[in-house]
Amino acid sequence: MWNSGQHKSIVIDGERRINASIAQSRLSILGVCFVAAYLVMALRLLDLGIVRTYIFPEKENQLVSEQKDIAHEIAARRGDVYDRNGFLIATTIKSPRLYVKPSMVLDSEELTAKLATILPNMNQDKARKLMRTNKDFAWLAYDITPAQQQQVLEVGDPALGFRSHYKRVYPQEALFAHMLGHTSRDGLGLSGIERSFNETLAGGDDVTLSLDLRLQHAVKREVQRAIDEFSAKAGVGIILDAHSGEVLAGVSLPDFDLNHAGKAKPCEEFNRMTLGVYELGSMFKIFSTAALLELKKVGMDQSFDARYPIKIGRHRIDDYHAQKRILNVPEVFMYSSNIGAALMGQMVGGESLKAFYKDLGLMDALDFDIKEIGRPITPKPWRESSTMTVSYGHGLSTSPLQMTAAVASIVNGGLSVRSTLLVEAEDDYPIKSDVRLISEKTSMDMRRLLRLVVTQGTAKKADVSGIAIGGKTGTAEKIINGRYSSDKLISSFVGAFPIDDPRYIIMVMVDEPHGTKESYGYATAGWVAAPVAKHIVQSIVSILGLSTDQYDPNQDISLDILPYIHDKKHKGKQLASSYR
Amino acid sequence: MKFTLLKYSVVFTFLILSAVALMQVSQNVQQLERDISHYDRNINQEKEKIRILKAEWAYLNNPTRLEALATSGYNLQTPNIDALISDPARFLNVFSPASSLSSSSGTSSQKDITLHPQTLSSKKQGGRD
Repeated sequence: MWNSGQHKSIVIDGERRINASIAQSRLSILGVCFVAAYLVMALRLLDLGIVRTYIFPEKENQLVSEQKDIAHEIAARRGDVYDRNGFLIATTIKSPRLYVKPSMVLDSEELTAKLATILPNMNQDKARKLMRTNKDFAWLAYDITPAQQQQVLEVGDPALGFRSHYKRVYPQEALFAHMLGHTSRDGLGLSGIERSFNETLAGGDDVTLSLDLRLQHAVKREVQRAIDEFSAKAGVGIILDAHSGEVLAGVSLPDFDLNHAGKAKPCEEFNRMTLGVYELGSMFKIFSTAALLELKKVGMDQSFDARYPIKIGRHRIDDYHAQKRILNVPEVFMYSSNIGAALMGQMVGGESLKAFYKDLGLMDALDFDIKEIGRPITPKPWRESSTMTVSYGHGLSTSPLQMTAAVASIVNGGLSVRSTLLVEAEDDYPIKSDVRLISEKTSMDMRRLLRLVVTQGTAKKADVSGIAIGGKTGTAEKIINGRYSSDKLISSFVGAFPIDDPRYIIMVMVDEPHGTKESYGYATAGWVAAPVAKHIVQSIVSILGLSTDQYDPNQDISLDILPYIHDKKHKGKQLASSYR
Repeated sequence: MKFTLLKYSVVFTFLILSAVALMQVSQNVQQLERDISHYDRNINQEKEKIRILKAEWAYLNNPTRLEALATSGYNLQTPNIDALISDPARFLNVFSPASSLSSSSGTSSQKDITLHPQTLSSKKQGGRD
């Protein structure tokens, strides 16, 4: 009987008591362990949540950002390339590649058949063979479209898988083949801008070129047309900004699709614009005439005896459009007299002429933004005969771009031009170089002479209505086995427009053209290259925003020197037959 | 003894509550991280799609292709150079010689190049020269 209000503890004695106390102590030890564990967790939480976040945040973030940097470096996507107006001309996209784990393939026949319906380009025999090997891993197909990838995923075979890779894509295909260049499958620049700007692009930075997609297309179209029309081997077309030296269009034909650069033939891969060097012939009369006017301070009426061919050493200098009379400067230039030009060179003197050519950049490899640069072939040793022959373009080979840049320096007012493929800051335009090569006056005289060649001389077919274009043709015989070949020609034209104050230089070169019925069998520059320049200018004036109804024939700059030309009627007829 | 029991139960409840809260927070954080990586992946996928579309757009706007389409599909041709005029007043006069616009020939300083429809059509037969 006990009272409920009275508390009575039960005391267990003996063995039971001992057991109870052991249990209690175990419990408390367990409890302590739990508390300790939670304490550790709480402390860790405090450490992560407060100490590391708010008190010492730098250490942690540094680690993370370092890891990110490394990841970024590995995964950096190659930068894009744009034309001067922001049109995309090279980009990198992720493209999945399909792989197979041969050890996991159950039925190679069935799997190959399924894949063949999805990927028509896959080599079935090769795929079947791959699936039967003992390898752990093998690539099955590259360049898979997203739709194909989806279809393969729907097959759902565990032996198949994808890994994405960066793939370089050239949406303009062949249009910028030689200037832009291409990369290897691993993304290493192999030619053109891709090669010379490999570091910039590989670092993920974009590059904007001075080239203009629209001009590039027009130039390519017209040069290609001439190659087809005259069954020529190759061609080059260039448009250069006369002041900044920016290459607005640069075409070397034949070219190749950059997306399939591996299939390009050597003749297609060869960059004729900067790597190829050619004797460009009479165009050099621009430089010898400029040297004469600048260095000898002679007037336009300076006369040269072109009655007889010149014999010097083993050379015989002859005129193609033989006038057989005494010619003045505009006549020598307009009739493209080799004898006259040789005498001009002689008058200037070997050393002076050499120095002048060097200043124009015709004696050294061009300093340009791509690495495919041809070194000019200069006469070695430089004899007296060399002075005479280089005056009309024999014995000195240069790249077409080099020649174009030199012409720019002559006609733009006389300031040295460095050609570039990168776009210059627009605010500074026109970028004037501070290196003067010839005076304003000589430059103006040269422009008059160039205009005269188009209005009266060999480049009549380059005349565009509404735009005063000036230029000079050059027909050179190619050297085959050490001798000049009379039937393998290089026909070229270099011009500037508007000639009053040139902004653009245009250069066209056609390699080994053949005469047609329309050209009366002639393959000379006046018939082949000059019309190309005309067609190019016609199709780009609206793009360049030049006005074509402001030209007044009565104000033409060539009128000032027209009185120097004698016996016009007769000579005009003779010229029309050849346009050399 | 009673006090100890109370104390323990309070501590225990607190522990359970904090454990639950901790669990909750960690779950939330994990979910958010999953969300972030999901969104990141989506963003990257979209960016990649945009790149592909840009490349495709550039390819479709390839002048060689456009020119072929323009000549074959629409019978368009390059305007002759004589069809370009730099004085818009002349252009307007073609359509409304009697209108007041004819008096605006004073704006000849404008350099915009406009297509001259008459010249264009008259040259159409000639083609290239």
